Amino acid sequence: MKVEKEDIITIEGIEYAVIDKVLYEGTDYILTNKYEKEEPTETYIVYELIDDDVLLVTDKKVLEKLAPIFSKDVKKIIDEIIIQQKYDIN
Amino acid sequence: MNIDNLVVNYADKKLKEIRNSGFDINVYSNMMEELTGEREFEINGEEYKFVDGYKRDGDDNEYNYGINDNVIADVFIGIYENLNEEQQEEFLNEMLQHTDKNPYKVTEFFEKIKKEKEEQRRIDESSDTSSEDTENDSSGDEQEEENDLSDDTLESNPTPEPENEEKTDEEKTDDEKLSFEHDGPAIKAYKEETLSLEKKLEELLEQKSKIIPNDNEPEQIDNIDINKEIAEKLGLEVEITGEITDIDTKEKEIYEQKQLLKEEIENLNRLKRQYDNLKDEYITKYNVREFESFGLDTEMAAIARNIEIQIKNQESLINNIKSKIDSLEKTQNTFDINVKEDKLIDVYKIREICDKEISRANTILADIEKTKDEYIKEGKGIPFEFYKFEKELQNVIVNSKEALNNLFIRSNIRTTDEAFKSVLSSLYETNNVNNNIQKQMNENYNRNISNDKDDELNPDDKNNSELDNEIEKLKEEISKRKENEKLYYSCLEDIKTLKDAINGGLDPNSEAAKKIIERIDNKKMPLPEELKNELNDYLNMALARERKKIEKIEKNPKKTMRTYLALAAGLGIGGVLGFTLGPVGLAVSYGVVGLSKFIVSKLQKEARDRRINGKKVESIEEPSNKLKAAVQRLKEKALQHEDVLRDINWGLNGALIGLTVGSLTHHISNTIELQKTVHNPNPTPNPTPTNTANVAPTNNIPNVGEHVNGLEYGYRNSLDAAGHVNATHLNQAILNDGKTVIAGYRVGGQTLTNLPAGVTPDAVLLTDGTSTGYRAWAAVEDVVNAVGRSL
Repeated sequence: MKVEKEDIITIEGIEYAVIDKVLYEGTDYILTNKYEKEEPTETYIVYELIDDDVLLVTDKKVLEKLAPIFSKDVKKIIDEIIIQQKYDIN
Repeated sequence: MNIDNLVVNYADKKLKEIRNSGFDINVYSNMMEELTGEREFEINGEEYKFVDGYKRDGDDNEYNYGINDNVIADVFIGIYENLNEEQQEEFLNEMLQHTDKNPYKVTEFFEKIKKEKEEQRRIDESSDTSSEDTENDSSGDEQEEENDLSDDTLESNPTPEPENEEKTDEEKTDDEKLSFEHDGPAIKAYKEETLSLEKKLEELLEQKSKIIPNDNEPEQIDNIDINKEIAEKLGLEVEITGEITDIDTKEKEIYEQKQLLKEEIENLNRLKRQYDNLKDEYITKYNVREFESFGLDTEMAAIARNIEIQIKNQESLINNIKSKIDSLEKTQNTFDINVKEDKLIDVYKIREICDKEISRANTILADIEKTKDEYIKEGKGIPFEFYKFEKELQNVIVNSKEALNNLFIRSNIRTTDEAFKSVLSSLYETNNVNNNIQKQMNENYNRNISNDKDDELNPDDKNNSELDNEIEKLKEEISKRKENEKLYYSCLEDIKTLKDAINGGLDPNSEAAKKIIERIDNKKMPLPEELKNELNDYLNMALARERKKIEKIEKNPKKTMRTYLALAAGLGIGGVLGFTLGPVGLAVSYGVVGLSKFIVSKLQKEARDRRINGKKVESIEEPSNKLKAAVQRLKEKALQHEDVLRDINWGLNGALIGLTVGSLTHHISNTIELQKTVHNPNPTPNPTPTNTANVAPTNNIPNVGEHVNGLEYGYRNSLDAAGHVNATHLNQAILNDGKTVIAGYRVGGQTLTNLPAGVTPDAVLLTDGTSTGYRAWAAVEDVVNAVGRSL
């Protein structure tokens, strides 16, 4: 099963909500927010997806590239939400 | 477990060591199958009971001898330490079963061991339990603990790693062979090599020294035979029994007898020669082929008979002299000396010295022999003192040997080598000895002394110095290797620290990581290549990020990130939300702050900028109790739909951190609106734009007056209003579309109708589209009341 946006994944017993997924230079990266007791936290973690595994991304250069991409995507999501809220629920 | 065999084997091993040192001891053990205590040892022909330390003589009388508790304990403890873990457990249990039989020290030792083992088991069990507890906590009841909003990227609940089957080295992959959990192949081999060198050193030391057993293994016998002088010089308090005779007188007598013996032997030989000559003469004279008797010559026969008688007499005389000498020699220098209990001597130190002295004495005796030959060649008589000196040396040898065989003395005088040396040197005093002899002997003595090391008298032995060199070299090498092992493990610790940090999020290319790597590189410089290379492999492993398994993927979860982001949207910050590179991974814009904190900071900024008719609005602070209570009532009374409640709860959790009343209200209001729309599937269709005045409100959303003088921009909904996003050019249509929640506004002079009860016109303010001065919402209570009523 592939990881997609909106999923909640469990790694080493901890849940992460997948906020965004991008393909960058041939590699899938996901932006996650760490959950604690089913609540979001202020911890955002970027993982590299490899099959059914993830690799923590700590490489500064990669993160610097990904940060604006994620930001743009998240803003889009929020804008979508806003619009949804305005006109429709679903 | 057969304890008996263990004791026997141990005793045998110890005996071998003792025997190798020159002692003559027979030890046997006759163990009962269970440790009931009748353990017997025979030492030097005397029997001793092991447990109670009594000596039994031939009549079965017991004398308190004192193979004491220490000795017994040492044996059992020695056995225990030589067993493997499994055997130790069994042995321990058996020993503790028989505490009534074993000496106190044994029991004490094994009870201590048992306690330590139990303590260790408790520690191991509790550390297992605590790791389980950590896992349970992570899925506990959410109401139990506060949300921890601190950045805990580096923390993770430990999941136990799947246990690997125990594989042999051949079966393991390269990765498995190299693991932080156990020694890598290079260090393993290195340590094994060190161990083998240590064993070799042990053998060399054993070879060099006549093994000196453990100082804690003294044995004791009642009586020792020791030269009186030596005993006194050694500082032993002795009680002498037996006959004491004057040594000099005895010596002189023995000497004289021996001189006499020599002469008589010479006489005998002379007589024998006479007899042979007579025989030859007879054979020649009478041409006899084989001599049988002097039958043919009576005169010769008579002479022969006479010589035969003389020979017989001479032989008898010689035997008598020999007997006399024997009896004189037997009674010299033997005393029964009972050593007082409180005097202790380092037995084995003495033995070592004795050995050396024996060796030295033998050397000097050889010299004496040579010198005596010279005297004889020159036809000179050898002075008595010479013989005395020789005798004394022989006594040293004899006594030393006797002491070595018999000397088990429990001593509290640590070492008496000084005293002993003084004894020996006093024996070497050469009063009245010919100067040349003395000089020669002194030369020998001094030559031996000059070869001494560590202030001990070492025999001049070439082989020993080669052995010493080898031993020294080996010691140095082992010490160096041990240092290397220490250094290796220290480097490995640093690597492990680095690994943990990287797994926790530290960038391997960061300055911090590079510093650690540099430190490790410098540290491992002195190590041999194979260890350095292995550490490099570990370092590469550490630098590589740890791949983690995705254990579960939940599709379409109840609470997704969208919900959370909806909160963000609802709070009007969607437009400014962004990610930036934080100290660890990504963080929300404005530094490493959470969404809620971001909101607070943003609104605080707004509050600072905001002016309402020149007045400052209330600052952002912790929501009042009033507010909180209102929210609570709202939740309990008004909202029945679970999702709404949950979502508001979400929002409220964040919102309650220092938001304005207004923002909160707006959020609640908006959420309610959302829900209301859900539960009202047939909302009023958009009315056609008409004149603004007197348009009936839809869904209880307050309308505004028709006139929108001065109104340039507004916001379609409260979210936008709070967030100053999506400013819209207002028109009546928008105002009346039934989906728009209008920011408060004041229309000059207009009548506002259908406002929520309690909302007064001055409670609403029309925004002029700038960021200054609007007051968005009515008081919360009013909203609550309104909402309550509307529902």
